Amino acid sequence: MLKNFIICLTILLLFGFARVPFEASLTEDMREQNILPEKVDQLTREKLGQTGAAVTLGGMRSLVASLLNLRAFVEGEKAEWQKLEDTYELVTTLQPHTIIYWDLGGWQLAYNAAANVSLNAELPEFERERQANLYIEKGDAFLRKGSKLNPDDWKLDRELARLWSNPYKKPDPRRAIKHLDDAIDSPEIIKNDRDILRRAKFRELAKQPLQARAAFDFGRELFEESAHHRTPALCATLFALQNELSLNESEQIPFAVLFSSPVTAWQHLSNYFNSQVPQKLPAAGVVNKIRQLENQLEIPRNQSMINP
Amino acid sequence: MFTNYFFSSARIGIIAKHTFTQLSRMKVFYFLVAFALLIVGASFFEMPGGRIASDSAEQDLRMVKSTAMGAMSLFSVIFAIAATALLLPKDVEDRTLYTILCKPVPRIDYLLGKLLGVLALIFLSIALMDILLTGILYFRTESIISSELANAAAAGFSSEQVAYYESIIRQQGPTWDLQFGVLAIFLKAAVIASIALLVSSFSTSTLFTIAISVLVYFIGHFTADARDYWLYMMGDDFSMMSKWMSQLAVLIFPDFQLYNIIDHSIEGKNIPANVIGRLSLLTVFYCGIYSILAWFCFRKKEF
Repeated sequence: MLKNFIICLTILLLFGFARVPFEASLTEDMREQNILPEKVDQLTREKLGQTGAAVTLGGMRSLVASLLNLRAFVEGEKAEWQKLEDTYELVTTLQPHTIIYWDLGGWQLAYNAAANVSLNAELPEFERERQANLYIEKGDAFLRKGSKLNPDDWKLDRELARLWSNPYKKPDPRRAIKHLDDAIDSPEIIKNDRDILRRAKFRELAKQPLQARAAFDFGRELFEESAHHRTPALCATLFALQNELSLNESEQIPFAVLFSSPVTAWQHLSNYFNSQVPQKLPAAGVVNKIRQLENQLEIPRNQSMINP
Repeated sequence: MFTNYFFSSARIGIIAKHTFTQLSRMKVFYFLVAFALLIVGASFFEMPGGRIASDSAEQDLRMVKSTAMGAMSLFSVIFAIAATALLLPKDVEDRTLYTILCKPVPRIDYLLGKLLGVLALIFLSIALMDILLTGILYFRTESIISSELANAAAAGFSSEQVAYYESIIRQQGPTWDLQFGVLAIFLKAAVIASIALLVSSFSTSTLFTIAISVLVYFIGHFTADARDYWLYMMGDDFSMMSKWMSQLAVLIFPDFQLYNIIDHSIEGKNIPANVIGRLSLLTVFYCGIYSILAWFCFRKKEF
């Protein structure tokens, strides 16, 4: 019996020596290609509990993450934001390369949690504002962590840009532009989405008075590149920037080129004034032009679309 | 057919077939009914929405896949251990073992036949589960795509954008990479079954066989960590004793972490063919060496 045991052990050890280099090499290749899941650290195992930790060993990390994601939604419904944050930390530890979990976690924190605490009547105003800002920063940190772990993915950078360009949060055009540039430069992004983000970058540049020239040059580049870029908002913004920079005629894009007709110009500029200018986009010469067009088109004052 | 004193593929085939029949009679396939109910239930389950419809679609498909793959993984491990652990004791109890061995059937043929019978049943069960999963996933994906395309057309998306979003959703549907994940589940089960057979060849108790096999299964998930510790940890902080222990663990126990490609396949990400090829080769070696050791322990066992 002992003899058999020793022989078996010897054969196992010899087989072990033979397979270790093969397995080490295969493991390295699989880790490089992100095929193998990240190791579950001790802290995560403790948070999962014994059952959860055992289940993740069995290759069911995806299922556990899905169920925890469900739990997070319930926690969000109950406004248990700290628990939600902990749950998404767990989920993204189990599935660090599943973008949607980073996206949902960031959204829950920066939008839902921040909005919820800002409406908490039990807290004084300054505390509501402080907590709301805290959750926005937490959402930002969460999304940036996801972006760092998934450098090839542009969607998290897009979400970060959206967060910092959202007029109802803490708009910060410089941060938004940084993330937009990261997304635009991603090799994974398709042309259509890249064009949308470039136009978004133009908007953020235009919001900064000191960047007016850079905004105009970039906007002009988009305008001349393709008719696809000539959205009403882009054209109206270019018009306002031209006025703000007091460009001479040779540098300007002619009004008749920006807008196909006086009616179109009146509609687009009026919409721009009502929806975009409150978001800190330039307004130089917009109201005057609208009034001029209303006179030209004989639009009664009571039908004017603006009320400056 | 390759036949000699030690080895006969025909004999092995017959024993495998009878083992398969014997296990089928244990109403194992009823598990498939439970699996079917589980996966159909998961396919109707709608995850709470994200901000956009495609978030929910991706989560729904992921839920179906992770539920199904998790159930397959669990079933295959439990069955590989329990069914293999039962085989030898049952033959001893039924007295069929004596009849077979005095035919004479070489013990290696007997063991290989038993192992192949178990693997055939696991393979068939996983294949049936996979067919069900693929079918449900296919119909769910097509339904999601048609509704998303309708929404995209109404929203005026360009054809490039529509094609891109369609490819994103299809990536979460049935793909060849998902099949590689299913294959990895089977390969893992094959290794565990071989280990259970080895333990069973010298064990006198079914419970002991199951307990040791489960223990080896869990230890096998930490072998990669032990190997990293052995190969890469240097310096005075790491004692020689702990390095030797980790070395011993690596050499004796299999590395089951290598088979955990399920998550990657559920993501719809690419699994290179050479990775699957190397995993398959490793599995053949594992099964081979454990079968030889099982024969070594079994060859002179008295009943």
